[in-house]
Amino acid sequence: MKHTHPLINLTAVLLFMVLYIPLLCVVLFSFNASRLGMQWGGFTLHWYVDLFHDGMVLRAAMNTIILAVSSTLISTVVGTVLAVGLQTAPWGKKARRFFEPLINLPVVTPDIIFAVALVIAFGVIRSLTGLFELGMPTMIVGHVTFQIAFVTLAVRNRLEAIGNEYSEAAFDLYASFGYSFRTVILPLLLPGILAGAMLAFTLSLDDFIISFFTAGPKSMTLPIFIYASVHRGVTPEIHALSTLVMVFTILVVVLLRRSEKHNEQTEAKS
Amino acid sequence: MSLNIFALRKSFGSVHAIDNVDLKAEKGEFLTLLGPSGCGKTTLLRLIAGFEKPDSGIIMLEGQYIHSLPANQRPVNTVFQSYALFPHLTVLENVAYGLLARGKSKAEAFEKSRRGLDMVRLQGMDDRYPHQMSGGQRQRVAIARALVNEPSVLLLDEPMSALDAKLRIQVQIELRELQQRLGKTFMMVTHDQQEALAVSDRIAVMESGAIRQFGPVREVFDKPHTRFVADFLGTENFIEVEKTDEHKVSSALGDFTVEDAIPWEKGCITVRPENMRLCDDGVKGHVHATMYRGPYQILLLDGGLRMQIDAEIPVKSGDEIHWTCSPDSWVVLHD
Amino acid sequence: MTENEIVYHGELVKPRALYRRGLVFILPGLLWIAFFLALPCLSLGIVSFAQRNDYGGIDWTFTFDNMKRLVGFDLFGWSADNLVILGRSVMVAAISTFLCIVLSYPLAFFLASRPVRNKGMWMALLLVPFWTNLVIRTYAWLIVLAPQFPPARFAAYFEMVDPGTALYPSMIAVYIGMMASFLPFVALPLYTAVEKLDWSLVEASFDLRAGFWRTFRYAIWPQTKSAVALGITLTLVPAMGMFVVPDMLGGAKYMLIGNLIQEQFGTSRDWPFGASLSLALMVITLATLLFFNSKARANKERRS
Repeated sequence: MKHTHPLINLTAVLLFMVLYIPLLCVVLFSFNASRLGMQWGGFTLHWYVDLFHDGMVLRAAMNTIILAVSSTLISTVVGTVLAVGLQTAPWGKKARRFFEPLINLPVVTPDIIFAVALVIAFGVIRSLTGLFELGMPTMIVGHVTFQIAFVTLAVRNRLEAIGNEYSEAAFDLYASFGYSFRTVILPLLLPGILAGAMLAFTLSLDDFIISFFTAGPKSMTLPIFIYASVHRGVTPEIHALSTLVMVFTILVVVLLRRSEKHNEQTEAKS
Repeated sequence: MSLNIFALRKSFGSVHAIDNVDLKAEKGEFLTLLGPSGCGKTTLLRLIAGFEKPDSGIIMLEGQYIHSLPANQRPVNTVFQSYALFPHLTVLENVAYGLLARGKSKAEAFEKSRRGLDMVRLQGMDDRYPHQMSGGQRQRVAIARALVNEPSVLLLDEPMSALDAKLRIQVQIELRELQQRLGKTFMMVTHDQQEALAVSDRIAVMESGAIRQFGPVREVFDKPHTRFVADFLGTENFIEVEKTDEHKVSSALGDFTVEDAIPWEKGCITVRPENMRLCDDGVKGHVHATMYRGPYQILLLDGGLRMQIDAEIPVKSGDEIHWTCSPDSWVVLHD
Repeated sequence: MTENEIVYHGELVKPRALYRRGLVFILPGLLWIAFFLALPCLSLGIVSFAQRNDYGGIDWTFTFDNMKRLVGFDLFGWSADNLVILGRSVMVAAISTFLCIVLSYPLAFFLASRPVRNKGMWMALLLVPFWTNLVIRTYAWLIVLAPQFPPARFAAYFEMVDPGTALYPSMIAVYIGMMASFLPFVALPLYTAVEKLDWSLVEASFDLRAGFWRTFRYAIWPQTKSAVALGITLTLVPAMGMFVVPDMLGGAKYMLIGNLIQEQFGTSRDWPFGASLSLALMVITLATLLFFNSKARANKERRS
């Protein structure tokens, strides 16, 4: 059916090249034996080896993972419960007009505004109570706050897709609300919860701005580390680190797509 | 009597979904609510099941008022249109759900469920999942899941709409056979008149939230009371007539003698195509077309009348024929 | 029968009990967002009217100074610097968004025209940069735009720049970086719309020898309008607050508002001014969102 003009195809392929060439350069130069920028000094893996000996890199990687896991755990629980609460009571229009923008605010505002607001709020609270020193806790708080919106969205979508019929069927079969929730709704919700959690996890791993503003001296994450290093001067070690991060990202995305497809298939059959 | 509904009313906003409905169902009968979409039949079913709360009226089941009980306390079970089988549970767990929810032990619940599956001829399918089964099989699981709880009434919401035509006929027979074997009261909702005729003891024809006619299958089929009921049950020959005598009417097509009493001056009478027969001297009719239907053929006459005769009779388009039918074949409509 | 009971999803309950139960579920999330989102935004507004004290902290005297600085009035009289930065940010965001839209069309059509078995692969190819960290994606351009590489050499050959200089920091680099960042945000929704495109309209238009522009305007645009709107909301607003791209590729000469804000929290330590800048950006953001929202609503009304 679709025969596209060769010019369109050319443009598209060029665009793909534009998107990939920078990334491929990073990968390429991560194997560059020469430390000096653009000269090619031969193929080597020693930058990757160096990475595993670099204390700062390892700590940053650890921080990134800890941050992502903790924030995902918290936001998944809070977001799921929030979504269930929103869908299992007949909130009126007024209530919804109040809830919805509030929950979706982090999604539509530019990161930097939110980051700045957090830093200021933390600073004020700190001057009053001494709490909220910038560090891992503040970063977790920042991440959870924007993750909640995404988890809630994923879980609400799943709840809507499930529909009311299973709930009615459960009541028809003598279940109480608690029993039906435990045995029917929650199990059926699991794919949505997992999807939300994975989304939250990748968003946290990927985040720069909010981490950057709310980080303390000891809680550097990988994106922050890369940013700071680039400012000092680009080195092949950074390229190696970036390559590893990219590979990890691709793996996570592939896993996400696989599980999505698997879900779709079991859904389609039922 | 088993189920007694009195003065039931339910509105959604300004729409009267159920408008002052009375209905009595006998124990052990197969009762069908028949009507077009939007007539309120599904709403009525949901009111009985407990998924809607009536605005006013009474629902009584075996002497107990159930209209104020929540769904999970009514001795009523439903087979949903889409079956609503829990996709994450096995067939056995699905069927056992109601028993487990009421606190029965796993052993007892599963034993009863296996017997339930036997009853619908799905023995051995215990560990399958709903998505691994065919439409017909899923329907049987849904039926087993409901019946295993021994409800006073089994409600079925368009149970065959998801099945293909050939399967439907077979399932109708099986459903009827199951109901009669168990001696349970079944109440089914459908828009398919053929289906209603095939399985029911009594039919309630509904329109716009009210029951237009309620009675045994044969009676509703042979003697529809109103134009709507007649039309919905597939009657095709409507003739506008004027009363000329106790049992005589006249129309543009001719004069007829009817057996029923005629309660109006001007009204409508109807006759089934198969009750009309060719004769030498009766109403004149011009054949516009013939349609072959296997053992018989349909003649399209003027006035939109259809007549069913033996396929062997040599009639063709353009012929002039005479037809008549006996006075008791005429149905006098009450509106 | 209790008067005020309703049946909700099969359960017979009093509405009050339903709401109470719902509230129990909602409360943790709502409290979190109220405390860690609404409150900070509020403090943003308040602090923007405060002052910077000598140590870089906050001096809580109410002042309009920050607002005045925003529009250019500071200690040395009036300068357009801040307004220029604001304006530049909006312009860069708008142009980048426009470029992304224009380039997304060929991309979307290309994707839609791939054979079914390849579509997944091409989609994945489009998604990988989308999921890659912004910092990495942006600094990667530092390599491509380096002096020794073809693009810089090409520009030097045509005497657009001095030989031996990189193509950054520059406005061009910023635009390239912005576009590369946001292209998938527009291309993905657009691709979804193009997939569902009613080709009969396009073909009919070609049959009538309508030519490219008319075909686009009457057959393609109406069907992809809403996807473009979605792409705009996903791109325009974040682009206005973008920090990483102008920071790495634009440098001090081509500051955008994101950079200016960050400065107040880094080297300059003027939180109140930073807050007022953020507030200004927030206002522009909300105005943009409201504008597109009302357009979307007008569209819906026109259709119904």
